[in-house]
Amino acid sequence: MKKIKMLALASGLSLSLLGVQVSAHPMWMLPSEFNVSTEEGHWVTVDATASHGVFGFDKAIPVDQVAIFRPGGERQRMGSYFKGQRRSVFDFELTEQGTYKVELAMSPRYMTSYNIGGRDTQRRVMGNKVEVASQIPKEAREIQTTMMQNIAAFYVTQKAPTREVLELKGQGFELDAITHPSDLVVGEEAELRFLFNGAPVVGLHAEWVPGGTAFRSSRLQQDLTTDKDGRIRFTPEHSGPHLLSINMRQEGDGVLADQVAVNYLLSVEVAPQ
Amino acid sequence: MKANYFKALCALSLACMFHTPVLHAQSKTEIEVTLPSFTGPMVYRPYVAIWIENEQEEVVKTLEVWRKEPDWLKDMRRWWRKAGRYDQGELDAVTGATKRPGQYRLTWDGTDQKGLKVAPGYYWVNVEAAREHGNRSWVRERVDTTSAQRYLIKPTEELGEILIKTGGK
Repeated sequence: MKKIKMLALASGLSLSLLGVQVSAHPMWMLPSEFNVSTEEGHWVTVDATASHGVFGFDKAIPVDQVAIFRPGGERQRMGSYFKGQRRSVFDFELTEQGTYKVELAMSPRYMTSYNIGGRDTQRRVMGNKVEVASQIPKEAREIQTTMMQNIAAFYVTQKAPTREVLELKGQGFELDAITHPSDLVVGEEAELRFLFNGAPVVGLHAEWVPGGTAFRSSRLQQDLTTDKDGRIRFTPEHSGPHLLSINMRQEGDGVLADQVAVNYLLSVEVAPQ
Repeated sequence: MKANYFKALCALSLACMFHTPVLHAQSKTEIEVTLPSFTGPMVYRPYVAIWIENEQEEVVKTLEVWRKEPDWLKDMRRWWRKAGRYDQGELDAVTGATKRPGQYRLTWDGTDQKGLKVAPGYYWVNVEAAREHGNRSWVRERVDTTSAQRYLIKPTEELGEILIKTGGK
């Protein structure tokens, strides 16, 4: 009994230690504005960091994989960028009206773990099932490969909101914004849906937290669960920037990975009534 | 509720009424703290501080600090402001590793940080917990060390029930 507990603890610990970019520190971005009324070009500046505090800075993250999509869907280059000790910063210019999507989808990483020896020592190798096949000893037990991916996203709208950047691709982890991210309002029910490779993610746990956790006692976290259609419905109580965090764990394709772990963090503003 | 019940019980009992401070010169205060368990993808152990303040809300003694890196000591906002930030090394003796969910018992022997006896009377027992990716909770109870009583603090976001017994030998 004790051994089982210890093992469970050890494996949980090693996964969290290893998954530094996966689960140890939630990675998010926060733009200077979510809604803009200028008619000419407007620069938005964005903070990017990995931190448990919402929205407090802790660890700088690489921003070279940030993708900025114009309202029509074309990619756009970022302006100046900077990586400090505690946060990264980048700017980008809004030149068109409508909704921009900014996403930092890190490349998926594969980790294979297994137990070996009389003491069930846990070992890990980086790589997918095919890559590590030759590196795993014959006597290894409980071999499991996990694909891990971190995604951080936000939407900025100049003038009226548009929906082209919200169109679904049917690939990977996706937000189906039934309520437009620029239309979250205190007291009004919002509805968001989550899909993985086009299929709704059912029974998924989501955390909804208003910004400013460092300066209050309660985190004010609302725990939500997706229904059979992959939807969450909630009514924001506070205005201001919020972080929606999702940790998805699903079975993998069995070819490259047995398990898929996606951390998705959406920064979104709730408008006052 | 329960605390009131015990107070009432105590008031009715002659033994309680006539227990004088003299008898309790050596009195101990027992504190039983419960750390609740949490589920979710990011559950870390809380940082916890347990300390005594006098009626003027001055820190008399820090009893325990359960912690890891010093970086997050400041998240126990009240303890850090009143005691932690003035530490000259004397708090090393009361610090320990962070704890798993469960019940923990500790005793205040009625002395201050230097180990000197303080006058019996009313004191505040403080418990504060802060958890990464969680909340910060601070609770306190005003206790009378001159009489044998039980006090119960209701659970909060980060702390389970806390039971305090005064007047033990």
